[in-house]
Amino acid sequence: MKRTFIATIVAIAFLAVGCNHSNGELVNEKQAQVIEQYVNHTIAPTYSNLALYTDKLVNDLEAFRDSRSQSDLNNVCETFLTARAWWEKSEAFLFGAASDFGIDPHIDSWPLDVDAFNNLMNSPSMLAALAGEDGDVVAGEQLGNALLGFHGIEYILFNNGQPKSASEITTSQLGYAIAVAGDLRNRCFQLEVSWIGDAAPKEHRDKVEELELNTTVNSGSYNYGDNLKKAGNPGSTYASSVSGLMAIVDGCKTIADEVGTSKIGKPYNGEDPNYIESPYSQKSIEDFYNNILSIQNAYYGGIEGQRTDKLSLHAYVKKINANLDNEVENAIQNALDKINAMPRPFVSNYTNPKNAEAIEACQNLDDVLSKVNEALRTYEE
Amino acid sequence: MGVFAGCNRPENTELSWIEEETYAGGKLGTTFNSSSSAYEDPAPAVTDIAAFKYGEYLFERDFTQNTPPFNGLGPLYIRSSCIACHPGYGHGKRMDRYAAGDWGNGYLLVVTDQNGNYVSTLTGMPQTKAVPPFKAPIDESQIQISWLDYTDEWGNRFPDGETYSLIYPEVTIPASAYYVPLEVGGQPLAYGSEVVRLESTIGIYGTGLLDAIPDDSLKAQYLKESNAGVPLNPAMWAGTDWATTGLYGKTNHPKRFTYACSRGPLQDGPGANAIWNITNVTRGDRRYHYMTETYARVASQDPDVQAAFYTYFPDYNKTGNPETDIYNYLMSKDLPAEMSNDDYVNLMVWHRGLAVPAARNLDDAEVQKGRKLFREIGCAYCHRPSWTTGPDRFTDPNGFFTTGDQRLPRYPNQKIWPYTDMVQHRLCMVNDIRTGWCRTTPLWGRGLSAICTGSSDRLHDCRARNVIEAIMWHGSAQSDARWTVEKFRNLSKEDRDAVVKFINAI
Repeated sequence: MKRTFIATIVAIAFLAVGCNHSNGELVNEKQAQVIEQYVNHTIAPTYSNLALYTDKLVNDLEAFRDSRSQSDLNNVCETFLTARAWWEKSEAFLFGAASDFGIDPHIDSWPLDVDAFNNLMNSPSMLAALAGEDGDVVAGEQLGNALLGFHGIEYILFNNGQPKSASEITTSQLGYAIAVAGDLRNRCFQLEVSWIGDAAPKEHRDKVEELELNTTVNSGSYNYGDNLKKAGNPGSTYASSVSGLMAIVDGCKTIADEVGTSKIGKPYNGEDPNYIESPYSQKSIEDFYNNILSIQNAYYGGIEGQRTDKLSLHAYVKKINANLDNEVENAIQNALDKINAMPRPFVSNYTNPKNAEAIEACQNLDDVLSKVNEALRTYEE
Repeated sequence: MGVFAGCNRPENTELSWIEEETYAGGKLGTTFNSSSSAYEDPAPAVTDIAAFKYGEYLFERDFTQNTPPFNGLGPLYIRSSCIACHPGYGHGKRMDRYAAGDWGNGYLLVVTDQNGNYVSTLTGMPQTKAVPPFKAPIDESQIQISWLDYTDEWGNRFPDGETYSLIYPEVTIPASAYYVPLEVGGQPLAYGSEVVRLESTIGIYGTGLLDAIPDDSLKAQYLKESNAGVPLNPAMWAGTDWATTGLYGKTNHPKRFTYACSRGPLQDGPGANAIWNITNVTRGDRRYHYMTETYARVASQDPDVQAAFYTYFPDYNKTGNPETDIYNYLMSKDLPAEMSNDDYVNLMVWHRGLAVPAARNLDDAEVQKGRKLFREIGCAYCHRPSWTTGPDRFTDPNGFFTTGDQRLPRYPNQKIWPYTDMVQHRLCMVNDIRTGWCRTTPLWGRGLSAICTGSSDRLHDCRARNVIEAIMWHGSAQSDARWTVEKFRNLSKEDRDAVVKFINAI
């Protein structure tokens, strides 16, 4: 009901303006600055960190393979969690390369197909291929999404929320994890290069080129960062600067809704633990929290330490409608607080009433962000 | 309707058509989202948003063999998720190879004899994936797709000198790739004499609205075209009424979905079937595999499969004779249901509930010029701009849902703008679609394809990389659209660009 009401408001506002622009201008300089800040200081460092830590994960796994020490395994687990946190902090911008190239389902499908995994462990030829030099490529091409990505690696490393003991992990399992981690790294390199192009480290660009992975919009000449930064210019898929701003907000809306309605909501309402995403490391609540941090980073124009207030979407919205900006700030903080208050681990507490408060906070955030989009659409400079 | 400022405004009297056509899905079926999730929104008609979101999960997630909650993949399958074929919920992407795991590969293989009759020893949508110990009916690594250049009678050039490029696919499958012999109508077909074509997915939003077009309205359209002398597919229309083969199953509903007009009511349409046959996930009313008897026989007699079957499927050791047990497992009609009825209902809420993005920029002068030309030169004849839905008391031939079932979103009395007459025509292209007859594909929402999917390939096998190429593929000498293409060719560049801009605006 509430959503229909909001949708009607948006529709009326849309028709009231008609055009997506004011005075025939498709490019608005202030809006373009907000977009540039967001691409350069929210998206770019998030993906660069993701690339860095997924690369480190492969190295750390190989170090553990060589030493088989518990401290090295613990190190692997820590790197895994750091890398994953950066991925979860990217989920306010799953539009673009992560969706267009199917990178999201490739690296974040869940649950792991346990039968397929067991079949794999019983297949000497596949294990040999995964252990080979091109194991990462073999993995990416042949294993299928339900055996790839973070959750495949998580299954090998963690049990009941803790790193396994080193002796629990067999050679075959480790070979699989290294190959899958290599493929994960490759696709995270692809994400990074797709958004920042030549600003990505040469080794990352070389790897992506070697693997012949796509990195531009619609096989054209723009990377995703340039495409968004050039919103309103010919050649960009964004018809106007305001379309670009609304894309930023839409990305935030999508994850806010998904965390509330699906990631927390489905296990809570359906009382079905099979819908819990990170059951082995038991970091679901950390994941949800990082998803909202992703929204925060988008709204404030940067990851922590890289924000410039006056170039943020927050400052822009504040100028349009200070009350609305206040609502957004409160809604983001409220979602963070309510998720933080969920009893951990989620897998042991998914029917707890605190979860309902978190769901409502996320859905409220989604609704407030809808109002932001309406305000952006109707604002005349 | 509010205060206007800034832009050039049309006269108030003209405002009504802009408002009306902006609501491409009617008031109940339109979203004003024009970002990358524009194809994914619930329509205002959806009352149970939670059900919609739970259904969405089933569409987006990869299925596993037996690990819940998205379990039931196999023993043979076409893809492991729905969204992989429907990237961003939109049109499939042009591919240089056929791999089930390639994101956005929305192609189905169409394997027939030289006369377009389906090879019966493969499923109608052939499977290229299998779970151990089974082997895929076709080894996809051996499928060859070549993209060939095509030069039309005008040298791929407009009278004013602007050129365009045309390409089309040639697909070959060597004999070594097939696990089963080929047969058509009970007769063997020699390897190498089969014809292989590609058919891609189109966007899935708005099918609930198309389903709400009354049967009588479709009939009136066929009658109008028939009376005007437009050639119609005799499989669908017999002069003054539906051909018997134009009606769906044992119902009186005309077929309206898929290129081939092979499906009638949406509740037994492509989606209702695909959630079962793409992944081979059984459910309460489909407790059998998407399978051919030939495959079951070949697999049951395959020593490799016999040797390993009981290891992988211990529960199906019923007789101790692997050949018997394999065959019976594959051909069983009372398998346990892998997808719950609740999940299926949620999926249908989502499927019927997908909104169509509002048209954009209809107040732009160039778009308006394009809109006018689109109608003047005859594009709108086949790409009929609008329909009005009826009471939407949809039916379910499977009897799973009651008529007009309250659990599902409905779109009564909506003026919608899909830009299709829902009738098949022929473009007579090289390496044409099977039978040559193709339902006019809806154009609504396609302008957002690059934003929503990262690609904007068009036509049934994704041969057109942009709107101009799509238009020019309508230009063969025998094409039903030839007359219109001749007029398009003679437009000035500004006018051609205006038509393209309009097509991208709807």
